[in-house]
Amino acid sequence: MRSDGPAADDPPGAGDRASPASLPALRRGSRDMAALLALPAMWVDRAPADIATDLLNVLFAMLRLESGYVRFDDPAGSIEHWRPAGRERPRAIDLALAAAPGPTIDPATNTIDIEGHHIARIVQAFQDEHCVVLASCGRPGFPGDLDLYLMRVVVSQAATAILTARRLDAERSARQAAEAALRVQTDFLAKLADDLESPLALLAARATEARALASHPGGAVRAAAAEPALVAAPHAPRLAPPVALTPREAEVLGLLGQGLSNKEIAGVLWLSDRTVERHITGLYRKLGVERRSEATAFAMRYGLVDPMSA
Amino acid sequence: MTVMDKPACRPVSFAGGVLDRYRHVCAFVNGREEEDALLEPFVREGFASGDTMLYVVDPRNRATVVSRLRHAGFDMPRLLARRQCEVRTWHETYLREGFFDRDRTLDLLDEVFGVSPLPRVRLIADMGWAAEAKIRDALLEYEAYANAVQPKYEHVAICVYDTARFGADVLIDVLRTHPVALIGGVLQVNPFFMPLPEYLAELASRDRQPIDA
Repeated sequence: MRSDGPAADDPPGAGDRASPASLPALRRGSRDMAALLALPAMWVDRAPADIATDLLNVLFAMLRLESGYVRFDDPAGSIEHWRPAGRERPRAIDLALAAAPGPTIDPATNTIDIEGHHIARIVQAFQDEHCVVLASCGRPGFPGDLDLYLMRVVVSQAATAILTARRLDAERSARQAAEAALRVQTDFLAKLADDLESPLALLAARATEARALASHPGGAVRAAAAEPALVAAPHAPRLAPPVALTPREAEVLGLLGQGLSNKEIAGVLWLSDRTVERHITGLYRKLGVERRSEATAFAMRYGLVDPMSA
Repeated sequence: MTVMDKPACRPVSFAGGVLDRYRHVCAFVNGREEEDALLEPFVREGFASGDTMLYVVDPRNRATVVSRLRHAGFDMPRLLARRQCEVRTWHETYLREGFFDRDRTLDLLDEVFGVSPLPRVRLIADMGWAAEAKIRDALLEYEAYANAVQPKYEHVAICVYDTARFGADVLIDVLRTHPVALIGGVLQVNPFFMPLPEYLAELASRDRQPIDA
């Protein structure tokens, strides 16, 4: 009897418990499942094409297949392998591909019967890729619940490994491009420094001369007073606001300070537009400001807006 | 029929896959950029289909969610006014009155999902509150019990876990409580999922320890 998949209250492979003869199958399945946990370690630093080939190898070894097919599609191209190897795909595989539906992670039906072949089909989509895996086997009862379960796990492992491999490739390429660009910029800056050395030396001499004149008690030039810091030092203690705000006013001011419009503030806080406008008018009056930007500056100064939350 | 055998309902796209019968998902993400890239198509499809997006976020990020959606091109004042988008904070949901209570939160989930089958609700919950509150076992029990609540409805629940904030041991347990998981960018039916009775029995056999966030 074939079901649509494991029920929530049954452990994996429970569908195979129909008879005592299924217990060895269950034990084998458990051992296979444990072994599958090692797959990610085996596929580290492997090229996507190698992972796809390996996926077929694992399925053949685990399920004793007659033929198998795997395809991973992504915008950059497709990886496709089949066994038995040959110039053309096995006929049953071709027919099964023609019958395959769109991507789904939990297909209600994942078997196809074609010309006497029982073919298990796994279709999985992830990000902007998707994969199709077909497995044909002459064993009676194929595919059982345990077969499908094991296939799903292996395919998921391979999909994750291929996605990781592609990401690493992309990062490696980006890093190499960035390093090349950095070399160009470094060379340019070195040349610029060489070109500016003489003029800068002259400017430095003139600045020294000006400072000497300014420090003279009778000098006409006085150094300007140091400008106050425009940005509070990180982790500076919060200042207490100079006016008392109600919790609602502080809440409205916080959201205003983070760039929300009046209508958005009303929507988030479940208030009417008019109520929000009234709060904001009251805030402007309390804070002694006239514009949203001034209210925002107040909110940031007194810690009513967390700059790290943007 | 078990709760997981509920007939398939209107499918929902998520992370390149399709959520059909299983609509309680744990999504492991690594940082804000990955989270945004993951959720944007899901949110876009939700708004286009007339579904309601319900965010549960860190109170510090409430405005950030709205700003990001606005920058993505959504008319946030209109969506918020129509209640097609709601942004609630941890303090209004998981941590009401300042602490987490499993039963109270499950009742709230039942209440939110049970208001009406339409419009469908797409819940996106930032689960970072549990890393901060260090309440591992209560979180896991809640997630396990949520699998009994959520399947009663067509609504979708995406529990977002930032992998940088939780230890691997907690994430493995989280994995056991969700029938569908997004790991490493791949959405998959979770082969490690443990049904509720089995999982509760395992939890009961462990010593209760706080998590290290």
